[in-house]
Formats: sequence, C-alpha cells, structure tokens
Amino acid sequence: MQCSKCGSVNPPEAKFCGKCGEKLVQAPPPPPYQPPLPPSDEVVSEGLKIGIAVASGVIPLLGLIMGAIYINNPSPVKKKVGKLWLYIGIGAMSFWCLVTLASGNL
Amino acid sequence: MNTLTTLLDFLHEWSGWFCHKLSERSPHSELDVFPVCFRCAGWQLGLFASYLAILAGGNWRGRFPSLRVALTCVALMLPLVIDGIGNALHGWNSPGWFRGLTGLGVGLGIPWLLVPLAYVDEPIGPALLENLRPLLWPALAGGMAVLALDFGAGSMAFRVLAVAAAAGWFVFVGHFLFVFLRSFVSPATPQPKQLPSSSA
Repeated sequence: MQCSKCGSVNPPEAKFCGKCGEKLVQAPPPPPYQPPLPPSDEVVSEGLKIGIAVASGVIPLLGLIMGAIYINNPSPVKKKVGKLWLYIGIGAMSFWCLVTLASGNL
Repeated sequence: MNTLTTLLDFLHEWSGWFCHKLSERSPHSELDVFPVCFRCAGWQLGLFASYLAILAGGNWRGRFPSLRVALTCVALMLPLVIDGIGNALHGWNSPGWFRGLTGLGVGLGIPWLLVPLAYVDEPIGPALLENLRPLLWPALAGGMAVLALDFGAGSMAFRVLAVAAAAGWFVFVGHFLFVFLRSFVSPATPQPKQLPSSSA
C-alpha cells in the first residue's frame, strides 16, 4: 500500500506509514468498467430530426411510426425526439382529417 | 323535447368545428340529424370510449406502450386513411356505418399514444397499454354505438351519443394542448443528483 503523503510503499496490512507515520487509507475500488456507447446510438442528427418532423406534418403515419420506434429506445435523446415526432404525428393526423372532412371529401 | 332539440342544435353548432355536417352523410333519428357526420361521430365516440377506459384503468401515468402495441394503435388508423383516400378520389362510396367504424379506429388509437406522452420522462407504474385487452371494450362499445347510429338509435340514445361524442372531442382538444404545454413549452428539467460528500 502506498502512502499518500510521502509515497513510500508499505505492506498491505499496515495501518500507518512506516516512514512518515501517516495513517494509511485503503483506496476505494475502481468503478466497474462500462464500455462507452457508440456515438451513433446516442445522437440524432438535426437533419433527421427536422426532416422527419416536417415530413410528419404531411404524412402523419410516418411521425407516428418513427415516434413509436424512437420513444421505445432506451437512449433519452432518442426518446425525446420520438416524443416530438409522435406529437406532430398525432396533431397532423387530426389536422388533416379535420381539414379533409371540412372540405366534404372524406 | 324542445330542450333536447336545442341540445342537438347547440352541439351541431359547437362540437364539430371542422366537420362538413352534410345531412346526407350524418346519422339520422326520426327527424333529428346528428351534430357531426358519420366519420366524425365514430372518431369522437372512439376518443370518448378510450379516455373513459384510461380513466377507469387509473394508470394514466404509466409507461409508453411497447413498440408492438403502439404500432397496433397506429394500425387502427389505417382504415380511415385508406377508405378516406378511396372516397375522396371517388374510387368507391362507403356506407355510413363503415365510415363511422373507420373514424372509430382513429379515435380509439390516439388517446393510448397521447396520454403516456405527457409523462414519458417520469412514468409511474407499468405501461398504459401492456396488451390489447383494455382496447376491447371501448372498441365494442364504440362499434355498437356507431352501428346504433346507422341502424336506428332511439331518440334519447341519439342525444346521449351526441353528448358523448362532443365530450370526447373536447377532452381530446384540451388534452392535446395540455401535453403540448407540459412537454414542449415548460419541460421538466431533471435536477442533477447530489453526490454524498465524503467526511474526512
């Protein structure tokens, strides 16, 4: 065990440093290794986010399906984007139905 | 009876904001005309039945449905899209009850996706819709209501369904705005957790 004050190496069972007398403290175990997520799993490009959002305004089913897929993803970033697409999909679905109904064509 | 006729007139004026309200495409009962057309009636009754089922289930802060269940809710909307396009392009002319049932699918599917959207960041409990069983009775009730509208509902049932349809519509509009305000205008910002300070 290494002394945090003078840096001398002591036996593992020692409670005080044999050289300077400093109290030896057991270092906490390092946290378990967590492999970093690949960037592509966490990031949704602005182009894709805005592109699907705009397209969902015209084709609501696209927003509903993509939103349902993304909102079920464990990544909070994708969940947030999925929420936006779903909301636009539901709104656009209602809007287009209402507008088409109002025109008497549906 | 005069009051009940006034009720229908009121709903006709206020509940179908965008509906064409064409008499020949709306349910009839004796001399009365339903406040909205068949498709809107099905849609609004579906909304009413689904919101009622969610309220009765008491799990309105549950997680978002799984992908399979969510896509099934989306699939419920497909008949309206297909039949609507077919009718709009004069490919075919669907009967009233069928138009109502296609609208019902949209009304049934939307609330199960919209309700968990408000609490998707901090859900409590299991998924709002774990399987399709909770959809069964709103679908049956809504389907029977639509068929009753086309095949002769009594005068009182006609009015009750008109009120239910209007309620479904207004609840949906209010809820849609609530989700927007809660999720996008003032989103809840999660506070970083304080690490316990190590004592010397």
